[in-house]
This record gives sequence, structure tokens and C-alpha cells, in this order.
Amino acid sequence: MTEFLSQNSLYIVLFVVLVVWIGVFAYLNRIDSKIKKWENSSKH
Amino acid sequence: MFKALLFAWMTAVIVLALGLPMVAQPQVWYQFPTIPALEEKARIMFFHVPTAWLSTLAFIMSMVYGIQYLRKKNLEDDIKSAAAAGLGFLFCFLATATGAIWAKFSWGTYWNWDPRQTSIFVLLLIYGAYFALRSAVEVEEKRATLAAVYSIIAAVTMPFFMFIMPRILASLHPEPILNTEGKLHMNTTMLVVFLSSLAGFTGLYYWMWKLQVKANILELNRHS
Repeated sequence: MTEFLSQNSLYIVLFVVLVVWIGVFAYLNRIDSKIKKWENSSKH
Repeated sequence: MFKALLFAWMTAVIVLALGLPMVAQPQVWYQFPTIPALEEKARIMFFHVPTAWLSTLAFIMSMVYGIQYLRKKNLEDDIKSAAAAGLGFLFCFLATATGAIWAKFSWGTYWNWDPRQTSIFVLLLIYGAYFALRSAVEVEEKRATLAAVYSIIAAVTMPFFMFIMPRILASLHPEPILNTEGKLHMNTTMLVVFLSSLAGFTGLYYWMWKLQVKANILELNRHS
């Protein structure tokens, strides 16, 4: 795997993009679930 | 409108950053020059550098709203400061993680305590302590004042860890954009894609920050 990635380094860049995307998505998801929690509690 | 534009902008940046061919001697406008030693891995800078830039921007914003809080004692400024610090921590972590992936394939190991890795790690610890401090104080006004003072002190240390320390110590890190020679190792196309990436990421940061601030103000209003 490491050898393959060393020879095809564009996949390393793709992996980096994936890490950034996961970080951004996780953060937005956290805010979303926070807002949902208040929405649900304000309904009761 | 802003979100649609941001989506289109970032999509274009990702496609161009990953898709444009990299050749030794670019002949046409849509080719990137090969950067010695980095080669295809040089494309990482379109994503790694913006994360580091955003952490710098966010820590400065956290300090500015911290000062604002100390002047006006408005809890909304504390919320803005904390939201910026949170995003700064996230992007600082992402810069560390993406840098470590690059290091694995260039230096042979994810982590080797290079000055750049060490300084960003210390910065993560400093801002980690900021959140520990916030969660340790229950009284809102007291927490906001302590956090504001801490965010100012932390932001003062940030340029040392981000810009000075990695430059005064010998590092294996590729020459940063702001190098001692004052030269840019890119052609115009690469520079345009790079600056577009910085602009797009800054827009993304602004959207995330506004969302976090809105959510936290809602929470504040519910409690008061």
C-alpha cells in the first residue's frame, strides 16, 4: 500500500483532501445536531 | 447565493488543483510546473496551506473579539471569540494531520518532531488549554473574561510558533510561501489556483463561523 502510494502520489493528495473534508463535515454536523437538540426541546 | 457560489468556487478549486497536468516545462496556461523533490505531492499545498492560514486567521479573530469583550462586556463577543478559537483549533489540527500524511511519504514517517511539527503541536496544546479553561469556569461573565485574556495571550504566542520558530531552526519542511529569498516557486496558473483556494477556504471558514456563532447565541438566549 505504502509503495503504491509512493509511486502514485496523486492518491496521497486525494487522501489529504479527504481528511480536510471529513474535518469540515464533522464540524458542521456537530453544529447541526446542536441546533436539532434545541429544536426538539423547544417543541416539548 | 453565498453558499451556491462557495460550493461552485470550491468545486472548481478542487477540480483544477487535482486535475491540471504537472509538467517540467509548462508550454500552455493550464499546466503546472513540476516542483523538484515534491512533484505531484506539491498539490497538497492547495489544501494544507489554507488550513494553516485559517488557523492563523481564526486565532487573530479570537483575540480581536476577546479584546472587544473586555471593552464592552457583551457576551456575544465572547461567543464570537470562542467560535473563532474552536475553528482555529480544528484547522490547526487539520494542518497537522495533512502535514503528517505528507511527511509519511516524503520523510518516511508521520511524525519526527521537525521544528514545524513541534511548533504546531505546542500551538495545539496552547489552544487545547483554552477550551479546558472555558469548561472549568461555570459563571458566564467570569469565563468570558478569563477566556478573553487567555485568547489575547495565546494569539501573541501564535506568530512565534507559526512563523518565527520554524524559520530560525533548521527544518525539512519545504520552503514556505513566505520564504527568505522572497521568491514564489509557481507559475501564474498555480498561483491563481492557490489564491483561489485560500479565498474559497476563507469563505468556508466564514460560513462555519457564522453558523457556530448563531447556534451559540440561540443557546445563550434560551438560557437567559
